[in-house]
Amino acid sequence: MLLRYSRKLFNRPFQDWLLFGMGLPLVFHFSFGITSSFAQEEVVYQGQTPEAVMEQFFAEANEGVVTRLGRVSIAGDYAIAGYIWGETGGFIVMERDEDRQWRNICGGGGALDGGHALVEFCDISLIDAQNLWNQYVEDGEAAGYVF
Amino acid sequence: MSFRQLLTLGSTAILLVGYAAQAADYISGAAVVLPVFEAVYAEVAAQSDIPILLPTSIPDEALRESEEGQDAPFFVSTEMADANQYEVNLDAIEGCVGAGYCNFGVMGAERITADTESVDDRYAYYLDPDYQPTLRSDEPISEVELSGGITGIFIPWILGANYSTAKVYWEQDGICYYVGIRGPVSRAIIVDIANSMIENQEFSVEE
Repeated sequence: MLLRYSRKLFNRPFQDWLLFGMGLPLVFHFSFGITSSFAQEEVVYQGQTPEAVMEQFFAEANEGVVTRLGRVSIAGDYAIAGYIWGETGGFIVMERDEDRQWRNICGGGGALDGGHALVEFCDISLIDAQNLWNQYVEDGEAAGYVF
Repeated sequence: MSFRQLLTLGSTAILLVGYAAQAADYISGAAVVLPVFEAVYAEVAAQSDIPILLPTSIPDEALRESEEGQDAPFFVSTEMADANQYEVNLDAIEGCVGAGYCNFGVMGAERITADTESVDDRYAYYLDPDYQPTLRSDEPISEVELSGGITGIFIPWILGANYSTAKVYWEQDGICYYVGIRGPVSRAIIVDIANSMIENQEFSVEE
């Protein structure tokens, strides 16, 4: 039956195949369009300092929502900034690029629970993650937090 | 010289230059194989496609005290060797074959593929505050400059139920090589052995 069906398929007139061929780009166009629009929706904030990046981030808060920058820890070309956003909070991890611009690379709600997360979720190298996490802990302990 | 001869000569020259540009040095294995490694080297070489790197010396600080009446300072064994990886155990006593109580080190290699877990991912748990070994080395995870301008990564030891091996990993020709010594050893000792392995390489030119 399968053989008969495929034979029937290939016996279709030339016009049918032409129509099919012309339709393919349309299908591809929409499927690629969907993928790229997802990528474009990912917002990247950039600034001269981690604080400048956070200002851009806070600018997106709705009117009346209180935002506040928490501790900012910097180690090499990486930074972590804690924040409060209304009744919740989280952290944003940033990287300084070749043009000395800081930009967000990942983030999360609540507190950062360890340097391992920087490797696993932010794709930071083990050594950079270690240095950033140690700085974050050191700054936190200096501010009276217990890790 | 006719135009045709000139053309032939020119094409040959271009081909030769192209070949020379494509030819590269590849590691073919250890240049010197110490007698203690000979049997295991042959065993691993028979099972693995990976060039085997071995040191020409191991610092005394890395060795365990020999048992009474034991002539050799250490023994070697292998339990893992296939086309894409191998591991050689450094044992304090004969017949140890990598067992925790008598093994003091390891050296090996793994071909890097899309499925190979990176060293970073493998040791990310070192940075997890919930992971609390009994003791940790004071030395941090760090980059190390090895012989031949190679950059490696040093993973310090930890003490859990037993001492782990402090290791140095580096890459050559798409292969991740490593060497580790078990116990509270310093980075300098591991780097010494890694350098000995790198400096003891034989190269072959392949297209």
